[in-house]
Amino acid sequence: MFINLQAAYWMIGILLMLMLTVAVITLIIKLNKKRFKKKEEKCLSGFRSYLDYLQIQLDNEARLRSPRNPLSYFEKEVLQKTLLQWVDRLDGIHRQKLLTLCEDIGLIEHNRKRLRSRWTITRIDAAYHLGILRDSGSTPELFSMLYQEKFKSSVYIIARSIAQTSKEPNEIKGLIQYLVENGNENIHLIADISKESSLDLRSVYVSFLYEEQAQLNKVGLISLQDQIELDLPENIHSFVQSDDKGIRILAAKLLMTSMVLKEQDIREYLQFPDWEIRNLFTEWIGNSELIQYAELLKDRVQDSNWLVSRSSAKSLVQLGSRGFEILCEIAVGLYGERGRKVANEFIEEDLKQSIDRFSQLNDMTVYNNKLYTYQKYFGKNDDLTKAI
Amino acid sequence: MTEAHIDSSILQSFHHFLYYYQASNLPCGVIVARADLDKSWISKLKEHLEKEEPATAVQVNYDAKKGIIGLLLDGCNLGYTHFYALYVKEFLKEHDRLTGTMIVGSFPENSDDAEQMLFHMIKEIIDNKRDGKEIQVFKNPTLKKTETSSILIVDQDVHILQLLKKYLEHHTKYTVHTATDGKSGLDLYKKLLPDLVITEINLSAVDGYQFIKQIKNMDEQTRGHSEIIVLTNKHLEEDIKRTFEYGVAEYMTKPFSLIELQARIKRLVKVTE
Amino acid sequence: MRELLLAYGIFAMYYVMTINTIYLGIITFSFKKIVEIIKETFYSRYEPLSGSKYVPPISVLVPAFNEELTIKENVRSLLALHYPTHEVIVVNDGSEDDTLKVLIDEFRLNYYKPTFMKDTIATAEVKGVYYNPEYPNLYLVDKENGGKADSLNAGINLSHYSLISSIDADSLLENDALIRIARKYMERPDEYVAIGGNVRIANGCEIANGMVKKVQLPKKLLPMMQTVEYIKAFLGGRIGWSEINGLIIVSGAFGVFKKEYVIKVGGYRGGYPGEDMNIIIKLHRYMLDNDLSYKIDFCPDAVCWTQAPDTFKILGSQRKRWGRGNLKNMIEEGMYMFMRPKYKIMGWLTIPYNIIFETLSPYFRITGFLSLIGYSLLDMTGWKIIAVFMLINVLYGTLLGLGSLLLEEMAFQRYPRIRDYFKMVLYTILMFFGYRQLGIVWRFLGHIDFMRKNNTWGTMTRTSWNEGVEKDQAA
Repeated sequence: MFINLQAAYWMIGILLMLMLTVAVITLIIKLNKKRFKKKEEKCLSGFRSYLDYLQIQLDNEARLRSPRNPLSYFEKEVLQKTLLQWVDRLDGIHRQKLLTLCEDIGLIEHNRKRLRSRWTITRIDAAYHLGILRDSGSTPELFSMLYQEKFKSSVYIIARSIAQTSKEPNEIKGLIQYLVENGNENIHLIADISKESSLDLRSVYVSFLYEEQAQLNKVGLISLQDQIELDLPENIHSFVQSDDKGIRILAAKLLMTSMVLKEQDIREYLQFPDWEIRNLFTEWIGNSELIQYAELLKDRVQDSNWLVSRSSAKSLVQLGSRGFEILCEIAVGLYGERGRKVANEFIEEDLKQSIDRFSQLNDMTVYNNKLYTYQKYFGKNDDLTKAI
Repeated sequence: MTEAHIDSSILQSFHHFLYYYQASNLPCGVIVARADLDKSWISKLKEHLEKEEPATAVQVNYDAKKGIIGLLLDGCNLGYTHFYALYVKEFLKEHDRLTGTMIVGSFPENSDDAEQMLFHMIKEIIDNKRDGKEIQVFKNPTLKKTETSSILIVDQDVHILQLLKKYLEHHTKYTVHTATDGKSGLDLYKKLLPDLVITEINLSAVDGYQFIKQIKNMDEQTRGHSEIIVLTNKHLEEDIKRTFEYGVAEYMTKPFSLIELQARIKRLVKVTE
Repeated sequence: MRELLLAYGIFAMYYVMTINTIYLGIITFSFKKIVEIIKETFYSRYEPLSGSKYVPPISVLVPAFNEELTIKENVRSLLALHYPTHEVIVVNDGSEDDTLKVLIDEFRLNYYKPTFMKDTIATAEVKGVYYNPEYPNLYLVDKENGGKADSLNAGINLSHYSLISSIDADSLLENDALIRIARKYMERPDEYVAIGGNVRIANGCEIANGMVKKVQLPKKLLPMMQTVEYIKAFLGGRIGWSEINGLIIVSGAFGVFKKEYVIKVGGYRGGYPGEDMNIIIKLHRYMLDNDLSYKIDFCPDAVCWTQAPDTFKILGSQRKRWGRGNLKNMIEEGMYMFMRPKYKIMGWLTIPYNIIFETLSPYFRITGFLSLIGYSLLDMTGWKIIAVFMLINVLYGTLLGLGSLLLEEMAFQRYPRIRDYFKMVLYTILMFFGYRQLGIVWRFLGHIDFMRKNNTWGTMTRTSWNEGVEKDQAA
């Protein structure tokens, strides 16, 4: 029949063996971690006075001194853990001092060696730490590691380290191109990674705007938003007409933040076919309190897209007395039915809000002004005025 | 306790040297520690120190009656004196001779009166009843403010808390309190009513905005006032705008510079004073 | 007759063995993926990322039905998630208790007419939206009762962002849970349509202010069983399934979705439980039908803590609901993908596995068990064969459990004590003596409910998180 007891016994034997192996491995890992933790604690308590010294004398000492005894592999690991946490959080001269100290202690050498380890986890660990150590000497090796790695999550860990260590804008350019070519719309992650770099990458980003690849254009458009210099490359306006919606939106955003737009441009963007762009601009006018554009928002409250309509009304509330008056005009139906409900809702909300803040003198005048405008349009017998 | 009560052999033996440093305005470091030693231990210590740091000229005096050892380092600033103290501590600890705290100080960094500094250091060692065997840096008691002001730091990141606490307590006159989430931060605030709050926006239990808002509400009720500095991972413009609307005085992003933070604290305190 | 009974019984045994063997295959994929998971878990710098302007905003949807005890803390802790930009939309699904009032009072919310909600997906009538500008990221939708799926759809209608996250009102998210999923999403934003989080059992843990303060194993029997069960299902199972893009479910307790596609497949399906599996199957089907490259993934380091049922009654009603939902999903969606080449892994493996070894398992197992009993009554001499086969299946199952515990140990180690390990091993074995069988029976009863067309949320009574803590501390 289909039963072979002998085979079944074998199976039981094999299963038991496997179970035992798995359990033993688990326990070994567990015990190892426990032992490691204990050893680490002991080691750290030995360093306590030294770490205190570092923290307190961070300012006083021109060059922080390394511990007097040469450190073992394990001690380096433990000290690195704490020191790099500090490096990671600090900026300026203190970070510089700590980095010098790390080099004096031999952490860079330590991690460079580990970068060649047989274990992939150790290699990633080393790459990660070399990034924080800003060791430009290992950039080439990190690059070759990047190219060897399968394109998975760990690629971005290495990429971040390269961005941190590299001293050459062209290297970063190469890095971004590699990530774009192999990745998938990962542009925002790339922008975040390239921001780790301390280099001036403006020219790199501008050069991306002249590339064929849409993804590189996008990286350029995103990253340029963070640049302080305002003059934008010539071809930026062509991106607003791109076939790729993502590019259109990013380009509009960049133009918006650059503050080079004239009233005519803004008028156009407020009527742009993409609702995302209309929404972007209506929100921006409110948030930046650009009172001069209040009139332009009138039509947008009546926008066919509910999000645009609402953010326009919200922006008008932020635009002082003229903004409020426009809302009233819409609400009483001066411009037709569209947008009346939304306008009404925001007026009521704003008045309610203003009452809550009534106690402060400054706000009182603001409130009275608004109430006056309100009554001008709606008369005195309204519920709202009674409620006060 | 008045000055007359403290009569230590350390004071007497260092008297001339300190007078000399003071008069010629040369720097010197002083280390004072509670220790249980005898003649042979002292010479062993000296030997040890000369071997480890031969370039440093050191005077050692042990007050057997009080069980206090004093070390005088020629031409050393505070940073180096602190580092040197690590050797002393390690030697004493290794041979189980350290019986209490250690204090390090340096003229003229810690005090403009070298002898008075030594006096205060010894006094502090005698008064200090705790048996923690850590190294402390001398704080001149004559400069201490009578009314202690305090800072509350709220951040989930313990490394930030630790770094800031150590740094600010050493570089400013403030006492620093810390909390790791918004809820306990509020509880601490109620209890302490600190002059300054440094907070992250990404907080747990109660988020940063509510934390700030509730502080402002409390201030309104108690008619108190604390300045708030936001120190955060958040790099978004919306957050900057919103926190300022909530009445925050400064917005700083991580990673941050301690010097910049200290300067902003100074400015804020000046404004409020 | 005797021979026939034995033959069928042995067939059922082989059936179970096949399940285990497939599972073993899946768990191998999990081991293959675990190294990568360890890397991204520990070296991805989540703190700076949680304040980066490049991270996409997320709308967090929280359907709530009779949650007055826990809702307050939960909303607070959701608002305090460490994330650049997110909004929390609580949907009150016609609760019979004070859920609505508790929230209105706590956050001083004002009523608005639901004029500005879009009706992208049809839902039960929305009565109003509550909002307070002081909490600009919080919305409360009040609607007529329509079930969990209906509530999620209402949340989608209000949501402002292109990513949505569904979260059970009784679950607690870890601070970095959202940002961990978002980072994964950012790697391939055009391909990811859904990413699920890891669900862990919170019973026994020390909880305060909507946060898990100290992780501990449950003290009670049933939650303990579920703890090992979840570890096995999530770490052993879902990591592996996600590696081959054959994930059939993203837990309703915590997952992130691309709104665009959720709307394209018609939103969540109401009326039946199992809407979390339903939406994933529909997404697979839609993407494969339209030949779009896509991925549905599982992010085991994004953790959501949930309170497990601790009585037989509540657990039973939960499992019956799962059984009912599963059957409905297979009849409604699964059948059309079964063994169709177009649906790739889904068609060849995931769906067949689910239909043959999950949905139909009660029938094979119960009949197989009965025939073995029948056989033993007729002929006592065959007991040895039966015992050997049963032992193999128990050992096989235990091995898979141990494998999952090893995965846990390698990558996460939430339970560091040695004692905890032995306790979990013990329960992994215990599971095969009663608990498993009960699960099978509940699933079967769920199918019967399905035939009777009985539809409810099911009983789910909960205690306040704070109360739970007090009790634990007293104990």
